[in-house]
Amino acid sequence: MLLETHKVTKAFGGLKANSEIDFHIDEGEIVAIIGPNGSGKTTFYNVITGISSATSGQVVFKGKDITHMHPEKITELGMARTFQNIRLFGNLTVAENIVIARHCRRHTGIWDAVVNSKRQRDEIATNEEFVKKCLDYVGIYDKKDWIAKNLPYGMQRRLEIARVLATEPSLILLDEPAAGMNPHEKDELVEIILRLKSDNYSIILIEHAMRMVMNIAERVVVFDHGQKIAEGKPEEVKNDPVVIESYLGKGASGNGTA
Amino acid sequence: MFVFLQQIINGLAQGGIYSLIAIGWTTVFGIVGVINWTHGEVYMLGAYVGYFVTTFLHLPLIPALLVSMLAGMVIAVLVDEVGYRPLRKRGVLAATGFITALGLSTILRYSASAAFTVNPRAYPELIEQELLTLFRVGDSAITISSLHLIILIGTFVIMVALELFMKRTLTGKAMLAASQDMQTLGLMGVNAELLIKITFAISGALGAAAGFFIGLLYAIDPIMGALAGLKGWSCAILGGIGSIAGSLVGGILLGIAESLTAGFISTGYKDAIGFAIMIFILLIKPSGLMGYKFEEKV
Amino acid sequence: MKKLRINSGEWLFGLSGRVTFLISAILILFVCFVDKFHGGKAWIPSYTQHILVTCLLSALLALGLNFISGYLGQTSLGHAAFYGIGAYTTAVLLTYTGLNFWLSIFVGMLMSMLLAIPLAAASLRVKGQFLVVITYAFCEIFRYIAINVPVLGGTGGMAGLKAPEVFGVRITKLAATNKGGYMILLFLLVSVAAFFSWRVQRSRVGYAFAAIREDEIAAEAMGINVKYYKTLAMVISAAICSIAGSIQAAFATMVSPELFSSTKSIQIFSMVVIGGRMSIKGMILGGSLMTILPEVFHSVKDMAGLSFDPWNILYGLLLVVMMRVRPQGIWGRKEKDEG
Repeated sequence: MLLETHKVTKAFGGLKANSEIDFHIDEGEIVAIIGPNGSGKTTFYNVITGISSATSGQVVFKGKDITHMHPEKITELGMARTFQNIRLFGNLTVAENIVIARHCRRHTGIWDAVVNSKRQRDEIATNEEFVKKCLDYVGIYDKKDWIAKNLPYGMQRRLEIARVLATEPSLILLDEPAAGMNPHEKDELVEIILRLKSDNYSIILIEHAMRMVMNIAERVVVFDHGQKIAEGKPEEVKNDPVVIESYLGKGASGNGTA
Repeated sequence: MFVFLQQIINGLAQGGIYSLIAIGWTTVFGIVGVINWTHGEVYMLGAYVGYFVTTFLHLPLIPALLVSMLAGMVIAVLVDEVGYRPLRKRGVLAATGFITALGLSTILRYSASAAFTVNPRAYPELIEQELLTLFRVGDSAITISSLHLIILIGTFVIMVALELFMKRTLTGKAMLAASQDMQTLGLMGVNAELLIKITFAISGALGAAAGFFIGLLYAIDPIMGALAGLKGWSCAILGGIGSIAGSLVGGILLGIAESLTAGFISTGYKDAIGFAIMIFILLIKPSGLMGYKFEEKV
Repeated sequence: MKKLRINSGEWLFGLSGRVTFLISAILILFVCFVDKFHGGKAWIPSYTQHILVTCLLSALLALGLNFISGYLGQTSLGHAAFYGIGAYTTAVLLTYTGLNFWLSIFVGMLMSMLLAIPLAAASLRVKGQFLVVITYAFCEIFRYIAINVPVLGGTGGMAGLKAPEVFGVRITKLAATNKGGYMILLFLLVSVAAFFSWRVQRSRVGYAFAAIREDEIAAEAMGINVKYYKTLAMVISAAICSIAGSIQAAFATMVSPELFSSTKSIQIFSMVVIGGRMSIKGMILGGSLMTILPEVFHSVKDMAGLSFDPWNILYGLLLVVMMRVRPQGIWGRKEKDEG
């Protein structure tokens, strides 16, 4: 088991954005989290990546309790995410975005920088390798000298994925990667995600594009009002009356029998 | 105990003045999101206008105060028109507003020094200064100066007027709403530009009134705006940005804290104490005493 | 593959940093020693040399603040605090303990670095507009301490500091004029600080600063310890400003609470803004401009017989106009693209 959560609850004042969520993902698996807007999916990401910490419950990653760990340590352990509203380092170049993501795998400090030590030179060489490798992976290596915010929207999403790859993660969290993409861009994205899977990355995916979820996810978890209401294979979940109800409102699922 | 009480009373008037400055800061910050660093200069210019109309035109207290507030309004609106509006129109206010404010405040301060010279000036005696006995503790009397009393009453009247304006008029309500979400309000058909001008006008009037009141107590000079402005901003932060009630409480607290420091520790540290309190409060509760908590959405 | 760089390698007039350094070094040495070959008569007026020393001091301060206001993109109106702490530490040590000047620089740096930690802690909790006031207030508090603690000499400060010695020779006797030694010393320090900044900004640490400047949450998610790097930047910045303070104390042979004035803090901040945040040559230019322009206008004032100093008003105007036409500063990288 790569990541496991036990009864994770996140409360903002009296409001429970996540309540008692049990979740797990195995190595090499793709799990999708779906649910209506405001059902606590992104909050759940924030909790497991350490950006905000759980009110109660436990998050275990690679056998380590990471519930109250700082986000940078969690990234170092091998979990990295993208953001729903793209958060690139917009005024820096594409290549620089990748170099920054290498941070947690590098060890040079100020002293190395000042004397330009061997370690520093080695790291710079590795950086350049990674810039090529990661940008090629998502197919934007030719844009490496662009200022990130000037990239077209779809490429910004892809750069976010490349940046995640540069941290050498074992678990990748994608937060609505297809949001705002046109069908062509979506197809390219699906291709990238499938390639990630074949390269044995584990992926958690939050997504609204149901066709995409049904195509690539091996398991689907459904959130509603901060709770996990269903879990299973895509086709099972698709026909689950509880899920249909939460999406379409009460009564929708009962139409057949009423 | 007696001295303690007396020091608190002594600090009240100064506290009221800080509150007025703080509210001017916080209303503008709430709406345009920029630290209006020129606010201290509006306060200084308000004090000067008060000085000129009382000394040369021999206006009595209340008309002089009103003229000074009016002048404050005009100056603050001009500052916005000349300084911030062009940046706002280009959408770069957030990045460049603060440094522009710093520049404008320097221009105003040193133009005033050039025009009025740096020599301190004192208001003529507008009302007779005497010590009024409030009540007695044992055989010693707790007193308040008539000037302090006038300032407190003036502050109170202005606050009540502001409160009524904010809660009872449509413009006031729109201002409160704007401090929450300017963009949506613009979409709802509210004339954002007009609202901003009104906010600056109110801020200017309050700042100038504070300047006028300080002129009643002490001599004024062109660089007094720097420290007072900063203290007003400290009070606004202390009380919680965006909260008018918070600014009021913050101002009074600072006035009292300074008075107590001057009375019991040393007058030399009087000015430092406010800053120490502010840093301390911000470290334990960044949203201030009565402010909202801003959380960034991820 | 091209090297990844935050700034292009070009310096002045297309010359590289190394060439610029050599040319400046020759010029400085020439200025310092030319009088020796000129029959002992001052060829370069003492006043000009004084301005040069002040320019270099300002450049050093700007390079220090650049770590906070440039690389991290935070506004600080309190860096005069570290300048003053450095100066006062040196003054106190020289006056009361007779400690070596060079050691006192290090003690001053340590003091500044220690005191930078609480300020950094504040910058972790509050941002932008709030941080501005905290830094401003931080500096003001030290001014009150300097005025009120009797050992520090009150409003008058402390005077009569002895000039430091280099291998047994007073620094004032090192070159042809009494300012030459300081000029060489400061030139070396500015060069070291510039080299240090240049190396750091392209390193892992520099990229961490850049990430924090751009987006703190994304930086955290990319594995950057935001708290550590913000503190580190503050500590480095404090140390550099403190060195400038220690030297200022020795150069002026006195310290006064005015070192902690908000005007000084705002001046340092303006150097960074005008020169261009993050640009190293911009810091040197900004520091020089903010030293030379006031002097020029002081003389205008004297010549025209004005009763006021036009510089302060023009200085405000300069900031306002700068924000309209070139908000990134003279040599700054354009950050916020419109549209």
